[in-house]
Amino acid sequence: MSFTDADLIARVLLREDQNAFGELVRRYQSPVRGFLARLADGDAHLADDLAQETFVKAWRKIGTFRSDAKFSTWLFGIACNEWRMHARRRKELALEELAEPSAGLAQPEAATASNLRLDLAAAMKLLTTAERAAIVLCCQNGLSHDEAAQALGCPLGTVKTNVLRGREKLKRALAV
Amino acid sequence: MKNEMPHPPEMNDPLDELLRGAGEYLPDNGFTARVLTALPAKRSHARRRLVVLTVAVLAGAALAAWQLPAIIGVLQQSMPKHWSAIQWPWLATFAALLAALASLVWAVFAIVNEEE
Repeated sequence: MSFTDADLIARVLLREDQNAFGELVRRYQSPVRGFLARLADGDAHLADDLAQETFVKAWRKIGTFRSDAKFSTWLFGIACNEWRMHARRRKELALEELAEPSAGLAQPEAATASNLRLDLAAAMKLLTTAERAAIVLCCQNGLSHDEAAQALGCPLGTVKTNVLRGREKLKRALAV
Repeated sequence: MKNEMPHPPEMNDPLDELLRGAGEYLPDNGFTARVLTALPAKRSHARRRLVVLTVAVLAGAALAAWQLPAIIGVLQQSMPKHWSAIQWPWLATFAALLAALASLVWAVFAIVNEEE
């Protein structure tokens, strides 16, 4: 018998059921860790640390979850805040960064099908953090622009612009 | 829960296919277990602890207020005469209540910090 997210959340709220919360973690660990790994330029250890903190915060704050949103959107919002706090700690600019991508990364030309995925990882580094976050949420995790705006805590127009800009940069870099 | 249409991918766009393909499933590899280990103690336990601590501190303070004057009375008899001018029973009761209050504040702070 499989429980819906709403069933599991209700069990966590009513009984502080750690098994139910564990099931939610199992369901969403992959997209959350993947999202944070993209923001962390592929640093899996950092992404896992931030993802762990994301889920611990979710456990503490689950009483504030509003059922009119998807659980995944809410989780991505916490993950995004974790990333911002981490970036602030490292005195880096997070989603509002204006810096141009580093010059050391050469733009791949005429990518072949076999190394396209490898190139995608490099091409993603050409995007700003805000563009990368919007692309990962909307194009990889299937969130609507509205949901992504909610998770990232920014206006809908900003998300749309970031997705559009990010896609253009990726297309240019990958020559697709 | 809201069931909104996700971001619609462009038809046959190789970039969308590539992005979807790159979002591969990450195996758990003990991640869930680590998260569950890192979860803070249940809130109901913290509340129970607060109740037990409060009752214990108040009982201790009451006991001290009740018994200390008698103990102080015995001690006062063996003290130098000029010390007897000091209101020892009042002072002792006040000190005991102050200690009890400080313990209570410390306990509440500890529990609040743990929950955060």
